[in-house]
Amino acid sequence: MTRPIRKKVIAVVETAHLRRLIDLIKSCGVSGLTVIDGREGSGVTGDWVRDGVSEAVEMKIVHAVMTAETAERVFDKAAVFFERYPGIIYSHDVEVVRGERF
Amino acid sequence: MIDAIALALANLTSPAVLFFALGIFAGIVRSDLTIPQAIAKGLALYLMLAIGFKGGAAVAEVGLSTDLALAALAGVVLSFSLPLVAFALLRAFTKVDRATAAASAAHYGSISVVTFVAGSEFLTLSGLVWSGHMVAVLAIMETPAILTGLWLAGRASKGPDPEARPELVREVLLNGSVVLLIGAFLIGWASGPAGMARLDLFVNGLFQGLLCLFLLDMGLVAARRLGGARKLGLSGVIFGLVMPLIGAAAALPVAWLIGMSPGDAAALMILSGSASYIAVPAAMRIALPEADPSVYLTLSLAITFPFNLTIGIPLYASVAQAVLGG
Repeated sequence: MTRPIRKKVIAVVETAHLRRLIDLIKSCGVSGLTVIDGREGSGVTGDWVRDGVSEAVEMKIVHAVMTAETAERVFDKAAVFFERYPGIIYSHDVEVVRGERF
Repeated sequence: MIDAIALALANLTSPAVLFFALGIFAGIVRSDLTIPQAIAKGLALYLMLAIGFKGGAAVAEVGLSTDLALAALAGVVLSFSLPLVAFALLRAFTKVDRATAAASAAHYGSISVVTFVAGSEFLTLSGLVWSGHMVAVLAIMETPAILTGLWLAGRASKGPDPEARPELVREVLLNGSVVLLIGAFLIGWASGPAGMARLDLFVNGLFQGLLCLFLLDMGLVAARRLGGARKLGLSGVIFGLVMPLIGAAAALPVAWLIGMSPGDAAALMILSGSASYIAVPAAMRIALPEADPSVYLTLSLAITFPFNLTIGIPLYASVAQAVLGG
């Protein structure tokens, strides 16, 4: 059975900038997303870990499913956003049910 | 002199400092000892609630005086001005860029609640009486340094995005620690001695034990950040050790000028010598994302905080006692 294909966009962003990234994603017409805590990892600026003390530099992971056109709009805006703020954003195709929801 | 050494030794062998050392040791040897994050956060909230409430209740007992206004003014002046010294030293002796130096400098004008909590407990145990209104000074000193830091960053930064400004203002004025500290202070003040009698076990009886548990976690956190010291270099590490002394030394004449008691002067020195690692990093990440957080968090968490906890606090108390004690 063929199911609708959508884009799942995943962003890793510092807690301090999470709210603005969510606003950015929503401003592109995305209606739903999920945020989860990052536990630990490393990037170009070194290792990071969730220690509960300096929350601003802890990482959050944003998951959102959307159409390919919406993902394009999110990526255009995110390219500007991540020029200044640390973090990454990427996407891949996913099969969904109830495709009209995305 | 003998008193000062005895104070220092008493501090180093106190359970709180020893648990902090245990945390550092466990972190360095990569033990799997961890404090669950929710518990660590709960402990931080407890400490802020307890110190705020105790401060407010103490003010209710002795009443308001001009001392509070003078102490607050002194705190504001120190918080505004200390980042200027820190910035000049960082730019002169270390290789950090302007934005990172400005962000780091802001940390040294602001305060560390946990250093104050540990310090005030030390003062109480040493018989140095400090006024409850110093808790209000603590809350007031969180913010001015952030403004100086942003001003120092100047053209090195694009400044906060227009959309980020409301978030920055909210973070600066309404961050969780300020709200809880001021809120608990006002509740303690409003409920007075009767309220204190009800919460005595919670805010006093459990205080030392929960402080030990929190400092154990802080030791683990500081040990994790120690790796960043390599990036700072020797001059950065020296800055992290000297700047608290400069901050505390700057507070002493101010305290003398406004006629503070030795206990309040020691508390002001502890505040001025401490460096923030909760409120200021959050504001700096929003306003100066180009500044390197590994520099300022390593400085304040892994170098200055352990220094103050082990050596700084008894030193400031001894100096305040010696200079203003009589």
